[in-house]
Amino acid sequence: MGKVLVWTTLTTFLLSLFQAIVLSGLVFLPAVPDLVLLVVLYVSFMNSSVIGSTSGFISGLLLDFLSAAPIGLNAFIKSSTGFLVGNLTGMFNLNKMFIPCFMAACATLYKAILVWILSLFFGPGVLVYVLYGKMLYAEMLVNVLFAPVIFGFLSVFSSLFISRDRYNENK
Amino acid sequence: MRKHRLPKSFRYDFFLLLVYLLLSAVLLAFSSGGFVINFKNIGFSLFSGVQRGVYSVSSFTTGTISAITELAELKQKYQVLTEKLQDYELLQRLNADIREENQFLKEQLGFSETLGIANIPAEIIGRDPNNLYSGIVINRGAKHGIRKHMPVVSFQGSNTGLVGKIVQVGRNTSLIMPVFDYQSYISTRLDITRYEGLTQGQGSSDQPLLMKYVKKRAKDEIKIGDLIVTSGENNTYPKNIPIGFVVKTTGLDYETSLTLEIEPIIDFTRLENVFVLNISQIDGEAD
Repeated sequence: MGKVLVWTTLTTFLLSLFQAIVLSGLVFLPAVPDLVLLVVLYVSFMNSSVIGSTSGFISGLLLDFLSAAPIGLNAFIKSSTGFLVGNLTGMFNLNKMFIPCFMAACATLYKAILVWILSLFFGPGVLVYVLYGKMLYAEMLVNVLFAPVIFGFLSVFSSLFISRDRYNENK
Repeated sequence: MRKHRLPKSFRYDFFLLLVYLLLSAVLLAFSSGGFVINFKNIGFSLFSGVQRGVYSVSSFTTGTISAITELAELKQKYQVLTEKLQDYELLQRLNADIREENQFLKEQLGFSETLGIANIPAEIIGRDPNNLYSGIVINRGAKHGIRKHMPVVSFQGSNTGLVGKIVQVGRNTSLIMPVFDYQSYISTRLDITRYEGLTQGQGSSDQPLLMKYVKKRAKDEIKIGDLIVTSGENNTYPKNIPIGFVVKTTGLDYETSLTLEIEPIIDFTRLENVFVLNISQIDGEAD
């Protein structure tokens, strides 16, 4: 578990910097993809809800430090996403295209709903997605497009992102 | 020895999730409620420092690659030019580059001097990784004299315009909340007719700003293209800094005020350099 968390933290840290420095400046992208969310999805699904929620919490916190979002927002969203996806471990096979895309779309939608719920509790500091605005759908689209790439990339180094027990089970 | 066993119904993962959610919620509450210990500030200082480092490495790498490419091109040109004795063309090109750079630096320097307010020039090194938020990270922080709530302006072409204000200060970097952010509210007025309003962002640089609560009687006097400037009424922004131009006027019959759509003067997609204004020095002089 420790090894998976260390590698996940390192990867999400580098990806959040990549998001902030490179991807946010690309004008042809309709929205900035949430690469950290995609990593949390992969790690949670390949391991368990404990690793999912822990890696989600740590990576969300890292993202909070780099963003203008109030601290704790991404940590909350990603730890609960990691927990939910971690409970789906082993329920179906993770293929290369459809499942990652489907999970990315659902996770983006879940994030939008959760942000809206949190805004009710924490006031206007928590910004929400507009249901009829293009931002939510643009982010969903880029997340869906990037999901197979991130999942594919992480599966190349699966021994680093899957705990030893799970790795041996899969073998 | 007796062992303490957890009841069978106890779910460790669920317990862990509750801990994380509780911790996140507490942090969220502190962050939005202005708790004494500013976790966000500590984290921002720590991680934005690394961000600055990564930016420096990436810009160095890009610069090196560009330099290598340029060198290869120059070498190729030199071979052609030695045959034709056209070294002069290369010199001319270099001169043109230097002249252009010189012109740019002069403009920036001239602008910095004409501002009349002590300012800190800065370069943009990153933008918000979160789509809902629109923070801009610059390479100057508390070490360079930047403080929270300082206004930020920029110079593009021949226009000066308001960029936003500082909302987070790290040791070497700072975070700007741009004028188009959802949470940005600026007291503004029409430059010619002097009618006042409150200008708010819509969360994206692609969308116009909205100037609300403009008196309805101003309708006949407002023209498309009218300049909007800061009113200077709150102490955050100095007076008369241009923000944008009126592109549309809306107001329903039953409403008591008008809403104006404003095109920002600054093109945020091309924004590279900014100037952070130290207005406390003006206040100090006034006192």
